Amino acid sequence: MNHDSRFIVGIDLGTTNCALTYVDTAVPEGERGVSIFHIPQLVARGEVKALPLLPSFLYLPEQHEIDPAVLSLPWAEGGRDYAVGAYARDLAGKVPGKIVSSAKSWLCVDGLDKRAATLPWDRRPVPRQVSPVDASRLFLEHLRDAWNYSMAGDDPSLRLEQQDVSLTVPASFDAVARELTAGAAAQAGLGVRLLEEPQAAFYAWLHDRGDAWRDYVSEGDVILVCDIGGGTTDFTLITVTAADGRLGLERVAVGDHILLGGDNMDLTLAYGMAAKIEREQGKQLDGYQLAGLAHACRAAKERLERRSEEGVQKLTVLGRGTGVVGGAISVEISTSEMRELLVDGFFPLCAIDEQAEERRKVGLRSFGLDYASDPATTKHLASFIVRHGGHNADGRPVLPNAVLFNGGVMKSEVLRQRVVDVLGQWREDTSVDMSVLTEPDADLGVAVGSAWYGNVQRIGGVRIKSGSSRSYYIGVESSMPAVPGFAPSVEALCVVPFGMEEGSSVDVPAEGLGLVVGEQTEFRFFSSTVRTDDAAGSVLESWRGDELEEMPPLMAELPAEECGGSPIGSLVPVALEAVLTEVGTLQLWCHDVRGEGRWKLEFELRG
Amino acid sequence: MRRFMTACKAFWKILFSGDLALAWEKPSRGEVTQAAPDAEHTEDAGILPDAVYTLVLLQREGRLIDFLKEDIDVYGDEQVGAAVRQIHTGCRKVLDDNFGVSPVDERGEGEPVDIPPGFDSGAIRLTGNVRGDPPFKGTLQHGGWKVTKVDFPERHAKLDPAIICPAEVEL
Repeated sequence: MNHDSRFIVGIDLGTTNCALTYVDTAVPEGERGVSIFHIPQLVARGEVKALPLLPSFLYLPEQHEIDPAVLSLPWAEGGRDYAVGAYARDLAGKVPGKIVSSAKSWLCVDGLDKRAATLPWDRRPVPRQVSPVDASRLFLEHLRDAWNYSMAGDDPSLRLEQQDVSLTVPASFDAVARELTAGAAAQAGLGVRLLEEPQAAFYAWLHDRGDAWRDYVSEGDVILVCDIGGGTTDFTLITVTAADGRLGLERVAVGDHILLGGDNMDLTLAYGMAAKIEREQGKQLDGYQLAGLAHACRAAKERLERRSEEGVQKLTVLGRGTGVVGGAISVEISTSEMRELLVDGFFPLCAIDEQAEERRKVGLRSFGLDYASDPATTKHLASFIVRHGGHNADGRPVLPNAVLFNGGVMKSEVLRQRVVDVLGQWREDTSVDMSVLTEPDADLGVAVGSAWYGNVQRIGGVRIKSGSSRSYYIGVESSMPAVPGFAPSVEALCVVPFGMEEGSSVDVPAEGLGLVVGEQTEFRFFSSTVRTDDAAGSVLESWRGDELEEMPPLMAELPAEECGGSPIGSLVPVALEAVLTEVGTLQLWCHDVRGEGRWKLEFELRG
Repeated sequence: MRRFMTACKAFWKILFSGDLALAWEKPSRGEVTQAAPDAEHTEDAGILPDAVYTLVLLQREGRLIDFLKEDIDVYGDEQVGAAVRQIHTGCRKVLDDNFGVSPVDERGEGEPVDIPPGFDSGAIRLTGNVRGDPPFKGTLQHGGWKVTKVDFPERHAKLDPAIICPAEVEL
C-alpha cells in the first residue's frame, strides 16, 4: 500500500456488483470529494462501455462457443476466454453452468477449499470451473486493468498497483475469509487495507455530512447500519461516544453472515406469479421466461416505493421468438399482494424476542451456500440485537435509536418504513422518535465510503473506532482425565480479544503450549461474535453451543534444522503472539520460549 | 432566446466534430469496416454501422424490430398494450443510456413564443400564417427534440454490422 500515492482508492468488491471510487490528492484537502470511476466492460459480445458498476459475474465459455476476439477488451486485444461484468450478468440464466455468481459468498462456506476450482457450483458436470478466490481475483484484475487503461496512461506511478487502496468486506467475514480476500488482491498485484462494508456506508454518510455530522447525533446514540443488498444482509451497531467534549464513534457489534437479499425477494415474487399464471392460464413458464418474469418483478418492486396507493400492476414477459406480442404472457399483481409477499413475507412485524428460525437439519443436505432458512429479515434483526447488542442493567437489550440504510433493497421507501416501525415497536418508549440518517447512494455508498476512509486515514478526520469484529480462540486439550470412547474435551484459549485494534499485537499468556519438532502441529481454532469481554489468555472451559464457531484448523510445521539441534519428535515450548495487521488480517505466531525461533500458524484451508 | 441559440450551436458542434464527425460523402466512420462473413450483401446494402447499431440497441433492450415486424392486427388492444409497456421500458432505456435527448424549446407547449430575426430555421419550423419578416409571435405547438450527446459503446471490428440480433438456437 502506498501512502503517498496521487489517488486514494476505494473498492467495493460486492456479492452482485463491484464499484471503484477515488479521491484525487492533487485537490486541496478542504475541497476534496469522492469521484466514481466508470468501469469499461463488455456490455454485449464485442461491445465495450464504461459503467459505474461492474456486475460480479464471470462467464466461462467453452472453446467453440464464442470467438475469443469478441470477448477482448481495449487492454486485452488479443482475445479472451472469459468475460466479467454486464455481459456475463445478462447471460446468467441463459447459459447454465457457465456463469459464476455470488463468488464472494463462497469465501465463507464451511468445509470447502476456497482455492479449489468449484465454481460454477453444479451437481451436473461443468466444463470449466474456477475457485472462489480466483473469481474474486478476476474481478479485481478487471478493475486494475480498466483503471490502468483509463487513468494511468504512461505514468507508472498512477497505476492501481501503486495507489492507496481500501477494499470492503462484509462485517461478518471471519479471519479466514478476510485473509482469502486480501490474498486475492495480492495476487492481482494490489496492496489493500480491509474495511467492513456497513462501516464504509457510514463513512459515506460522514463524507456527505462533512463537519456537520455532529449536529445529527448525540452522545449515547446507538445507530443501526442496516445493509441489505442483492444477496446478503449485514447488520452493525455503532455508538456515539464523547471524550474531552468531542463526539466520537465506535463500532460495537457486527452480525453473522446472512445469505438473504433482494434476489430472494424477486424470485419469491416470480415463483408466486408463475404459479398464478399456471393456475389461471394453464401455461408453464420455462427457465428463460422465469428469468424474464423475475426481471419484471424487480421493476414492479421498485415501483412499489413510488406508488403507495392501492392498485394493480401488470407484469408481462414478452414472447421469446420474434412474436413478441403474440407470445407475451401477462399476469396482474395487486399492491396488496405485493405487500403480502414482500413486506409481510420478508419484513414481518415481530417481537424483539422472536428469533429467526434455525436451519432444519436434514440428513442428506446437498452441500452449497448456506442460505438463510428464515426469510424474515426482521427476525434476523431481532436475533442480532438480542445476541450481539448491549444489555441494560435490567437485562433488556439496548435498542438502536437511529438507523442508516444501505443496499439495493433499502431503496424501497415501503421497506425502510417497515424497519423503522419494527424498531419503534420494540422500543416501547414512544416519546423518542427513531431517527433515520439520510442514506448515501444505495449502490455506490460502500465504495464512496471506502475511498473517504482512505482519505481520513491519510489526512485525519473522524474515524470509527472498531478493531477486530470477533474474538478468536485456539483449542487446548483439557487436563481432564481421558474417558474411553469420548474425544478428549477441549478448552478454548482466547488469543484475540474482541475490538483488538488493527496494527497492534498481543502476547498471549499461556503455559504448556508446545510444537513438535519435524512434524505438523495442528490446533483447533474458534471464533465468536458474541463473547466481547474475553481477554487474551482467558481460558473457557465450557461455552454455549452457539457462542463459539469452529473455524478451519491452524497448523505450524517446525523444520528440525531450525530448532538448534532439538531431536525430531521432541516438544518445543512456545509462547503465542497475535498480530492484527494494518491490512486487517490476523496472524498468529509461535515463539520458542527458550530460543530465537518464531513460526507462523497458517490456516488449513483444504476443506 | 440566447440560451436556445447556445444550445443549438452545441448540438451542431457535437454532430460535426470530434469522434462523431460525419461528412456528407462518408456517413460512417471508416475504421469500422469489417471482414463481414456475408460481405456480398452488406456492401451492396450500404450498411451504415452506427445507424444499424441504433437498431441493434432498440431490438436488444426493447425488442422493437420484432414488434414492428409482427402483424399486430390479429391481437386485441389488451394484449398489445401489455407488450407495449415492456417494449416502451426497454426502448426508453436505450435512449437514456446511449443518447442525450432534450427538447429544442423547453417552454411549455401551448405557450406564446417570440421568434426573433435571424432565428435558426433548422431548429424552429414555422407553420400556419407565415408572412413578412421576423420578429413573429406564435404559439409553441411542439417543443421539438434534439440530441445533445451520443454515447455508444466501442465496438469490435469483428462484429458484423449488418446483424441486428443473431439467430438463437437452444441446445
